[in-house]
Amino acid sequence: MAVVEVRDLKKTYKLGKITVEALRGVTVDIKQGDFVTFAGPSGSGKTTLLNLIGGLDDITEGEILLDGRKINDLGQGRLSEIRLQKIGFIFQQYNLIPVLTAYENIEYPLLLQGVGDAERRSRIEAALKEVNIGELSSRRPNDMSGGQQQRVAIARALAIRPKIVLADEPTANLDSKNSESLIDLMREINGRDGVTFIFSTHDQMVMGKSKRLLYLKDGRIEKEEKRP
Amino acid sequence: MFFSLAWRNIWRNRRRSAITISAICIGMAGIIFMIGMMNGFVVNMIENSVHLETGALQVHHRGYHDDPSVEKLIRNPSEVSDRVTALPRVNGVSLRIKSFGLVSTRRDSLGAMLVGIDPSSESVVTNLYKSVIAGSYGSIRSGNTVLLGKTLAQNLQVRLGDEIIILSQGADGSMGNDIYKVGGIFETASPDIDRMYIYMGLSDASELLSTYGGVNEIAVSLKDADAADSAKNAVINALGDEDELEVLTWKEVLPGVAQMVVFMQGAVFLFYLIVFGVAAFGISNTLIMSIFERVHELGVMMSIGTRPSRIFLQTAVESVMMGLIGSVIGSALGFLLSLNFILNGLDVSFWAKAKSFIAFSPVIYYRLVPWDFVLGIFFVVLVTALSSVYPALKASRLKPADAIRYV
Repeated sequence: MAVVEVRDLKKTYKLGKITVEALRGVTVDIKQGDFVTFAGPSGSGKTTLLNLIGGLDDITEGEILLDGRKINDLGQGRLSEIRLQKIGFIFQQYNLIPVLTAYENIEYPLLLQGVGDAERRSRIEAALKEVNIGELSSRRPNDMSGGQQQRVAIARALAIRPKIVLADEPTANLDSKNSESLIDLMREINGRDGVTFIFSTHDQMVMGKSKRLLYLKDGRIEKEEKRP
Repeated sequence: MFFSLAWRNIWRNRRRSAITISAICIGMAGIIFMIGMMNGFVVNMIENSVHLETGALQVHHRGYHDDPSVEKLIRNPSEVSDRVTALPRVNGVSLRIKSFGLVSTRRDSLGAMLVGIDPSSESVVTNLYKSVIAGSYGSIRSGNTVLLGKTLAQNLQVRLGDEIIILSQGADGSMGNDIYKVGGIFETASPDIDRMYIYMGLSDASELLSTYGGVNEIAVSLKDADAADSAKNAVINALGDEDELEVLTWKEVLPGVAQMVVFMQGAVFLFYLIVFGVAAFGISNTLIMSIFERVHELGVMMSIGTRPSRIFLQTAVESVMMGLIGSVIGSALGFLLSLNFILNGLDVSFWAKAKSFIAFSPVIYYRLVPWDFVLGIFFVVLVTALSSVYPALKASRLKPADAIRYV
């Protein structure tokens, strides 16, 4: 069953007097448990597509269904709720809250979810262990390396028990060793827990480890490759 | 977590937050200092008015207050005073006969207000007995003896033991006159009273002014002078069928003083507005700056599931925290600034001599009650919460994708 259904999706931006067509009619289904990568050069529309799937931006035309529910007309409040319950985000710039420790960054969305004390503690400890940064739990982002911050971001995304993880250029600021180990970790979680991972990247290593590769060019899916 | 997050956000830019909190703090200290002073003036003004002359309530023959003339008498004062005294909130009453008269010595004649009192019951209503600076308050119990205001005595050039002649028209239209000995000289906080008033025994006044047992005024002392308005209704009910009588509160008797109280409260309110306006702009500005610095981060918070309403609340909590810190520290500072004046008072003798219709003591003691602090802090917090509405709305209406792109 498709967890994400994208139908003839179009997105235009106005930059002053110029209208930029970021997406020109994208249609794609992503099944539960997929490990999908949207690849393509800068400006191909992959980040825009990820933002629209995550409900972070307004759809110009077409529709998106998440878990069978159309999200086009939902307000920011409802979209926040869907993101909180179903979607984990991993960003290129890690995007942790700088005044919170690693532990608190992971705890933050769990508090929003209303997860009880004991369950919350157990999930945070499990997530820290999973990404192998248990000893850094009391550090703030500024006191951690890029790789360590990205691990916290992954732990934050996974601790909420999402159906989908949207990862926008997650390895762009990491060295190759860190990049590979993180992608391997995500692959392992995907295989073990069936969490759907959707990447946008132009990192060959990430593309190579994806089960399904969708190439975007000029706002359209140009070709698709499936791997075992 | 959310309070902790708000707290940490406040201290991200320590200098900016410290300046904002300091502004609130100084404003609040100013408010507390002003309130302490105004409370002192108001209480002093009311106490001087109520305890110097009027009492908390007065009962007259209807129309006496608007057109005071000696023939407007309460004919059954004992019965009326018994009914009023029986009320639980009444402390005591004083029967008075009042009229204008001419006071003469061998050298001079001056107009004066003659007031007949029973010194025992008057001492329950006013502090006149404390104001006698020469002679004896009780001297008027013996016949044909009077108490003179200090200024009046100076103007007439009379001393203790001297004799004066008082001439006045009686309630029956006859002219009364007699010779009286100066048994005491008083000095109050009111230059008008010191210049104009002569107190004599009630029976002397009744005889001089031919009231035949009637009185012009029954001044009422209440256990709680602040409850004059509600006590007035109780007195009216107690008087029942006495339609020819009127009951007035001290505010109605002395509208100038009541207006001055309102004016002072208005001045405090104006001061509140100025301080709160500064606090509101300061907080609002700080929050807007802080939000501009955190647009990207707010976008991230939204993208991981923070509802716009939570972003709004988070921003408002930061504002309220700053208001709370500033107002609590400011209250403490204001109290410390006021402490010397609470204990030792503020010397306003230069002013006390200059004013006319309102009696102030030469030293005003600041007064602060817990309610002043609670109310002040409450309003500062309220204003800071309101001043956060615009920046909080701005934060909560950010589009996550745009906010994340913002660097």
